[in-house]
Amino acid sequence: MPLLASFKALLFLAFALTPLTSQAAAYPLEAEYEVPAAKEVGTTAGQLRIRGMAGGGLIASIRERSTASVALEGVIEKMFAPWIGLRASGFISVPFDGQLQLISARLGPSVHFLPYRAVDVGLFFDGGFATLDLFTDIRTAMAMLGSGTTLDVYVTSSVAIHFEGLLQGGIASRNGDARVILMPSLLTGLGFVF
Amino acid sequence: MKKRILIIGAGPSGLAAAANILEMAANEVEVTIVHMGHHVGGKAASYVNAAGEHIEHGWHMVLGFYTRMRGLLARAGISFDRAFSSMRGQSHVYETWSKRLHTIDASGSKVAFAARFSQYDGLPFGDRANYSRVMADAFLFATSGANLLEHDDICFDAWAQERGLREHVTRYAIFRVLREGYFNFPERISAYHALQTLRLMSDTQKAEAFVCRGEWSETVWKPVAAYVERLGAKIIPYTMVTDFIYEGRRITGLRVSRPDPEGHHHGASSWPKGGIPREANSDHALSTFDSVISTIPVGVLCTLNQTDQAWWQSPFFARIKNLRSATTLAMRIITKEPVRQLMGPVFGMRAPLGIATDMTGHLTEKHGPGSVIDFCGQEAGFESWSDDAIVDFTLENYARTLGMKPIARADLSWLEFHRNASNHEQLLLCEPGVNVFRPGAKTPFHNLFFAGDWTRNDVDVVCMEGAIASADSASRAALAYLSQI
Ligand SMILES: Cc1cc2nc3c(=O)[nH]c(=O)nc-3n(C[C@H](O)[C@H](O)[C@H](O)COP(=O)(O)OP(=O)(O)OC[C@H]3O[C@@H](n4cnc5c(N)ncnc54)[C@H](O)[C@@H]3O)c2cc1C
Repeated sequence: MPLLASFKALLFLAFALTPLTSQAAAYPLEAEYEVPAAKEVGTTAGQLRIRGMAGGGLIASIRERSTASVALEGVIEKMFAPWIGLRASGFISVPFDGQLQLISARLGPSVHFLPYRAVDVGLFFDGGFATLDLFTDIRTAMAMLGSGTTLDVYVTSSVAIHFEGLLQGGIASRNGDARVILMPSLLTGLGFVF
Repeated sequence: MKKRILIIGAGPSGLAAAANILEMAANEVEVTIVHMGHHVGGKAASYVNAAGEHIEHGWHMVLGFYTRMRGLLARAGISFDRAFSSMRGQSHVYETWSKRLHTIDASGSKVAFAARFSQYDGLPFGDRANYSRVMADAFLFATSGANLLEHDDICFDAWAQERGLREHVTRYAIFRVLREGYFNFPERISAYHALQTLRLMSDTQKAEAFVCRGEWSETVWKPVAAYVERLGAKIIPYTMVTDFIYEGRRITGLRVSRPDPEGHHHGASSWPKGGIPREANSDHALSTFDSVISTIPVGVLCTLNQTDQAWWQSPFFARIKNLRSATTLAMRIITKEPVRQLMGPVFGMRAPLGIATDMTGHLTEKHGPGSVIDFCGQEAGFESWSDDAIVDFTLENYARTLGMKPIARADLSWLEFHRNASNHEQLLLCEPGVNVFRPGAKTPFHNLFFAGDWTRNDVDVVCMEGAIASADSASRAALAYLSQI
């Protein structure tokens, strides 16, 4: 009996609902109001990319032995095209033995070879100025050139892990001597991209 | 003898053209305005129906950058402060992802318009940063003096994506605001139109929005019409131009007829779709003019000189046929009981009536204890929906959007709905690529000039200020022509 009743109810529903559902027009612009999940990753034109990185470096001066340092760098990069940007970097080294401490501020173009992709590699060249041993009495100012390669791995649309190999070089005048200063560093860090 | 200018249309551009001409040359020129309706103001008009009730053609706002319009009103003796009420820099956007209304408050300091967007809390953090950065770039670009016209053939969504806006961010309601505001949703809006809007609204003052405290025609257009009549213009209603008559490169006459007043005047909410019925035996020709300024909307213009192949195959007029218009929708409701009140328009609600404004506090005339709410939008996508279906959907949608208990028709003391389907009431779509087809004031006929929000002008966005700006160029061109003959 209950089976028959439910069969009847089903039949009734089938007939009753058909005209109802065909009357109610489907909302035609439903898709326009859906916001798809963010899935766009990669380097694009216009992007502003801000990152903080830490790593290690060796600071070397010709005729002196090289010393190891912790290297810290902050970069702001504005992309003018998907593959060309301008980056401004601030670099500071923290030497282990308190010798040859470098601070640099540099500006220069960057090139990205794999825009619009989750993994991007790039090159940059820049220049600016630097100080050696700023916090000591023998502080020296100098011009600084930099160059390096980057590897960006996008975690989300907004967040990327950055790896950077950087070589900075300049000529410092110390006690009337011109000394070539070179500092290769390897850095990694997190960046916000928008 | 005075030279004679005939102006077709008594909307913002027609009235402004008449005012300009008579202010500059009342002693040398005679101005006659013919228009097809019985009420002045064109698409920005209100009118009185058979029951004596005031009906608005559609909700209109005036923005801070409407300096030409404010100038015209001032010259006509209308006090802007008395006629208009500020929405105090407030607007609201409903985001479907958050299911919330988000308020944009641009009142107070004279901050850049772009700052409105960066303070907007309606997007998740990463998207918000991306959106704000792109809008800031767009704003800087728009105000940089760059030639924005070069960006007309691309839609604003694509333009922004080329500058790094994430594709999905274009789907947030905040990014749709301009498309909706110009009734271009679900169509796309050209980057030129969007950037030009940012340029025009470059600070809080220029972006401040005002609404009329009364009925538009009563408060604005009738006093403006009275002003042009005081200056010497003759205004002739119920005169519908059906054809231009020409010889060589001169317009020598206009074929006109009297539209059947069944329609607007006698209670129906809009002119019928398609051709306007004409009174029998009312066809005649007008030829008492030296020069003509036509402010006929593009949709209607394209129906004139129907059988004249040479006219429509000429390069100038063939281009105009590429312009499309939107069927706008408008609705006013007055609730019996007050409902949740918000200062400023709400954008982002579901189409077709996706913009709503609570007018209760703005109107001088009181409408009982309830709330007066104006809705507007456009029909695209909903052509097959009946008026009733659109009304019911909108009532339900509005209540849901604002988090109120449902509003039923029984809760209303007034409901008016307009489907501006007739081509006289449609608004130009500013979709990508159309700008090259918009003519300026001059035409191939030496004595015919075009004005109207759809023609190219110094403002160049489709609105009342654009219409009035177009009247500046058309009236100057017409006077220059008359000074030569
Ligand atoms: C629903 C809606 C909301 C809007 N909201 C806003 C807003 O918030 N802010 C804003 O600035 N703008 C708004 N607009 C746009 C604004 O109304 C128009 O830009 C403005 O009215 C255009 O003025 P116009 O003089 O160029 O043309 P119209 O206002 O269309 O005037 C044209 C005139 O020509 C006459 N005419 C037409 N055909 C003929 C013919 N064949 N013969 C004789 N006369 C003819 C008409 O009767 C009318 O008098 C809105 C428009 C609509 C429809």
